[in-house]
Amino acid sequence: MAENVWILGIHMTKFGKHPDLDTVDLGAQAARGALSDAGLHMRDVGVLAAGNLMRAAASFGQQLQKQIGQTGIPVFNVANACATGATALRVAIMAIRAGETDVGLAVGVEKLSGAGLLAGGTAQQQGDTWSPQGRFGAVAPIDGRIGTETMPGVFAQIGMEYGHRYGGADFELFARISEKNHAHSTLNPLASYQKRFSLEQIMNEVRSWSPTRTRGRCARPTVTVAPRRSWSASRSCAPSRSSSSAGPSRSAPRC
Amino acid sequence: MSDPVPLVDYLVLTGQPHLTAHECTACGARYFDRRNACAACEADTFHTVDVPTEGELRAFTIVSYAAPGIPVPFVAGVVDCGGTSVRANVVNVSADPEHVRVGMKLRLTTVPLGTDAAGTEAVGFGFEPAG
Repeated sequence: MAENVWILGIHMTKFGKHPDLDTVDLGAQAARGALSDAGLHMRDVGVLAAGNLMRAAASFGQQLQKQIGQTGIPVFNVANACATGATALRVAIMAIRAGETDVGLAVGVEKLSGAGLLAGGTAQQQGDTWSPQGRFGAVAPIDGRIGTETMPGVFAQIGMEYGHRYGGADFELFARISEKNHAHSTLNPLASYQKRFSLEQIMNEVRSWSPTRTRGRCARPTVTVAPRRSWSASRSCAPSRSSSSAGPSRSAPRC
Repeated sequence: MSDPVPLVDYLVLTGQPHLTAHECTACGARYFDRRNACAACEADTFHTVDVPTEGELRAFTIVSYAAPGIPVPFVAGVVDCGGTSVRANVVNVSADPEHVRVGMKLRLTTVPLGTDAAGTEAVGFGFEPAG
């Protein structure tokens, strides 16, 4: 078993709406960029791990192979909510650790423009007569009638409950996290908004999901993908051959 | 005129309206949805228990964007009813941070949802400030 697995190359596309690029275009850019960064080609790769959530049944990995290299290697399509890209990376690493291959390629891509609030917040079908359906025996959509299913709303409540349970997590703390994240974005030319905001600006923003979420900014204690933007990132990885191999000296892109 | 139907099957409208839960016979974990097994202990037998109609607001969010047909702003929340976490809207309260606070005492109330093509009324639930 390979003790260590090294990241040999990475690439990330710029966050944006990209109306003229589909998921395969974005994924191809990221994958080819990572291979180029590593000085490798598809024929060197023994496993492809492909992450995509919004079109999880579309076999993004196979579509990508058809565009950048159908070399007969196994492909694993993964979908795991916010952890989709990280799961793809893990699949590639596990294949290397298991000794199946020496080089793997992990790609994650998402087109979120027009995806709305990622859950809830959209009109749902309702029949002419009340008839119980689903695991709650509901006669009508429950989003908005029994709490909210929208992701900003759900995470606003999780943040509030965290503060209630552990203390010290008031709105200003969430705003400080947002301030810090926006400061980081100015260091990444590929980030969606490369603009710094002061704590005062963030705290005065209109709150759409009080108390933690605002219209344009996410004050949430996790790394987040900005809604309505598309992104893709890719890493090629391989086991270490010696401790003097080129290590992952660069930090991986945050997604 | 038929009897009103509840929005969800765990809302009981007969007598004093209340919620029921599926309680795991092995570990006591409670669920509102149809269960295949207990997520806490893997047991697969449950019995139905009444959930207290009064509780404390544990978390909330004031929602300004929602599905078409849902009036905004509204207050979505999680209510601690004697140890059972209940997802619900907080109703009959001004939807602003000055009037909604974590820890406030709430009680269950019903919310009319309108009638269908057959003239049957559906009734939902929410929690309103108690006292």
